[in-house]
Amino acid sequence: MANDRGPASRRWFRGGGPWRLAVWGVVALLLVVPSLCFLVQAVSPRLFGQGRAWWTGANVAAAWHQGLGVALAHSVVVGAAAALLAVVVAGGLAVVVERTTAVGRGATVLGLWAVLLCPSYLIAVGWEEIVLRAGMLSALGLWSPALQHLVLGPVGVAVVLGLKGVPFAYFALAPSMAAVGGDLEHAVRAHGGRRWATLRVLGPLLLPAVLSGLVIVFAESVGDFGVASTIAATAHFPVATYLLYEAISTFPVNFGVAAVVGWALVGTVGAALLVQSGLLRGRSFAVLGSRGRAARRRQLGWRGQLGAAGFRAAFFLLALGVPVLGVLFSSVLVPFKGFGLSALTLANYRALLGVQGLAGPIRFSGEMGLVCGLATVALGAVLARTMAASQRGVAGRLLDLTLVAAVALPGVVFAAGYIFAYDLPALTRLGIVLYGTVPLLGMAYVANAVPQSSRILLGPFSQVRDSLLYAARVHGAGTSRAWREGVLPLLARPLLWAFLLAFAGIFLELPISELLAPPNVVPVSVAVLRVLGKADIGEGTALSVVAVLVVLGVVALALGLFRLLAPLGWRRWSEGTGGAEHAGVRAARRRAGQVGGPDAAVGAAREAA
Amino acid sequence: MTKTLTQRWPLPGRALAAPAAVADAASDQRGENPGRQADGAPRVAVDGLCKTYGAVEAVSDVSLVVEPGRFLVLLGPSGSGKSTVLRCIAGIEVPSGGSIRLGGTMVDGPGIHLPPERRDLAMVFQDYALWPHLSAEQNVAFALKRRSLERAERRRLAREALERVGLGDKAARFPGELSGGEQQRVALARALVARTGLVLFDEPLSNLDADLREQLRIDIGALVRDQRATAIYITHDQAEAFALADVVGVLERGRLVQFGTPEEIYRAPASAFVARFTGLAGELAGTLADVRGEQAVVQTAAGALTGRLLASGRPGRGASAEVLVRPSAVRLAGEGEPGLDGEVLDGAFRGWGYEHVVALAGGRLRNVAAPARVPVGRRVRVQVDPAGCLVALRPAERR
Repeated sequence: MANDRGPASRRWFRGGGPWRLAVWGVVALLLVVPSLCFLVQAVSPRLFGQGRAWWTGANVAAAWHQGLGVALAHSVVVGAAAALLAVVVAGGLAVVVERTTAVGRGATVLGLWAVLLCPSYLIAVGWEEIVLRAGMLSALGLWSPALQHLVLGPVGVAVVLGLKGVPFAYFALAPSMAAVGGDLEHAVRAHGGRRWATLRVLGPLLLPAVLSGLVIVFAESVGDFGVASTIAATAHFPVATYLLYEAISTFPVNFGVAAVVGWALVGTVGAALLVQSGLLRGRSFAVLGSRGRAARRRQLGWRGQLGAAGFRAAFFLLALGVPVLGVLFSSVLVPFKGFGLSALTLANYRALLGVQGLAGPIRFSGEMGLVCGLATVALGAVLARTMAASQRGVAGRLLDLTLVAAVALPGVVFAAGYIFAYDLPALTRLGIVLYGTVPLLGMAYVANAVPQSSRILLGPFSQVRDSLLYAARVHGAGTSRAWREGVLPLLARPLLWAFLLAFAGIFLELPISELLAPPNVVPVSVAVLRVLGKADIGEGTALSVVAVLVVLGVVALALGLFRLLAPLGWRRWSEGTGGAEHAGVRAARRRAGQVGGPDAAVGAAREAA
Repeated sequence: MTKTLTQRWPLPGRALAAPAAVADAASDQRGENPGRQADGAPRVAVDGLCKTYGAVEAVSDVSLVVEPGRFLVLLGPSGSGKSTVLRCIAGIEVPSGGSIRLGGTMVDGPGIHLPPERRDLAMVFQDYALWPHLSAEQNVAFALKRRSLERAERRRLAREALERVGLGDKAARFPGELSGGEQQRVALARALVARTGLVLFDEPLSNLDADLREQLRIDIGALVRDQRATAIYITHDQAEAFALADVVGVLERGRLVQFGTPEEIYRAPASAFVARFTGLAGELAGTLADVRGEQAVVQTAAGALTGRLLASGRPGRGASAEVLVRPSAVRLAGEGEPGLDGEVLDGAFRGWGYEHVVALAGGRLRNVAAPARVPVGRRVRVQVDPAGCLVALRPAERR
């Protein structure tokens, strides 16, 4: 007689009991413990042999003295501006994609994924290469000091961070944008409400999605290091992440000050989450229902189509086109020689080929990206499922908070935290030698990538109805087959995209690679840094271009294989999309004769509903 | 199919279930299970079932038995616990107490919980629960994987099942390409294709419009009976329950308050709640004037009414009581016929005739039948058939 109380029970479906304990164990080992090991040094440097005091406020004072107040204020201001810009642009894109018949809606979603895949430092470097004195505009004879001043300053930092944040805001907003409307809109109109009244009544229903978008872009922006170390540094505009980097990259290394900055970053994001929670307290904004009728798409005339296309083209030009052009030209342009065929050269690429052993770093980072990317997606999926299943409980909210806070911590914090946590003499005495090994590097890669991955997957996992699992099980499938055949195919595309995002992030990751890579291996980013260190910027950008091409090749290969090998039903379900759309919305769309529109329910739809 | 009921209301605390021995699930497969019919339909015995969510008691001490091949409908309003009972039987919920036996196998009990996939049952869900990435045929064939059949055989059986529900030409379609009714037919085919002995229905018609509900209800009844499976069906619609059921269980706030044939439930409801939930034309308050055996006379403001007394014991004259009037018991009196005086408030054409709402002294009656429309405001008399009246004592008057 079977005694299957436990994993086979509803607790398994809901993610409770031992399951949750295991999840928290992994989160603690990967994220919480290393972060705390680093952050605790703000007040207790002696704990890890970084000072004499068990308890001190000196690091706080030192951080303040080094400009923490100003840097944090800068971070908050550019973060808030970036969040606002991202939500406004993403709102516009969501309206075009979800509420109109604009041509190329699927391509828009794919474009957003491309922006997501592009590292922020690459976008920033691209813009720098365009506007700098020796840049592309100069070669074209269009250099303008005013434009350089604008881009290489607070405005430029906020705009680049905002453009980079648009995909996050879009994936938070789009599901609600698709769902708010339909019957709700008709109800307002039927009771005498005009266009303005409709907006006034339905607008607040978007509030959770808007706040969710604002918070996630804000967290990404204040924790960003790519723009901080490029545009912000060039413009002498100190932000918190760069202050943190300076504290641990200059001699003497000051981990205490860096930890204080880390606390400040976590606290800033925590405050943003509190504001979000306060604004939404006790209010229900559920807009996604299985019986809901999706909003009818607005038919666009040629003027509307032109406007929608222009808006999207402008966004992608600024977010991808210009910076990619900048990086590309920087890698093939001879500085200060004008703009002509004679000024173009492949010398940087030839020089790269001449550098010995570059294939090794590319192979190593590729393998790490593959293995750690898969591990990241697996863990991200588990975390997303756990959060989706327990979002109203304290544990679910705490996990959510932990992961959002982790987004605000730059990779360098994890890297330093891993050194402290896994190089302890106590661990060595126990025979656990992880420091200086590839597995520890892999763990740090996963820890760095998993908060973003879990948030990307949270929306799709929240939208999977439990009844699909139950149906599989009552019709004879065990738990693993129920997931494998009944649910995971629905999530195939979001999982694929989450993997590609993790792969790209890991392949090009710098601070963790620099601090944790074992002496005998060289990841791509470290190789780029070495080339930059001994050669000119052109060679560095050339290597960046090669690295990004490798990533794009992997993305194209993965998408091609998915198209070729995935069964028809898998592809139909998420055709031209980044994720699984809420079944009710899809059904309602079909009723309204809108089959085939691009979907967009990837991201933080949980907050939206 | 026999029409005998294992249990009649009132339940004696615990159901008269099969012998308590826990049989090995393997014995089912060898055909040695005494609780299963030769064709595999199990006897379902629920004993003292409880389910709590934190401090909320969703189901409390529910006991019932469904004989092999019988069709049980659990009827109750929202929140009465009927879904929870069904999900416990399916294995989706783990009971907080009590036991469930399918055939001779205890699937839930102290320290025992058999997962859903090992209970050999099928289920139709309220939201259909069709996998959107699988075609109609693949959805149906999924349920056959447990039978270890060849792929071609699974396809053939799935197509056959789809033919039976009238969707043979739509086997290649995906759920998103089917209407709500067609999706529910696919779900029905999936539930029936593996010929499991037990089929569960979780309000399968609640998302469909009236015409489709009626058609699918007929199909469900015919297909399940044709398969000779034991079926448990939950609904809040008494018409649906009476049309489908061999036996009906009425749930109120997590408790099973009556268990019997549809006729018993309708004619002899165990309480005013059951009477109200199974359909009334109206209620008239008054005082008890006389009690003769099971019959009682109540003096209402509109006049004296006779009905079957719901409460047991010997209530005294003058006690506060209510007369609960079934729709089938009221009609407009003809010229010169006696009846209760009233005024027509509303009239509606029903195809077979007209139904009126009539205001009486002390209350109003709906569903008052007449062959022709009577204008609103006209004074009329209403004839009330004592056979369709039930007398319920007010709570304070019960002995």
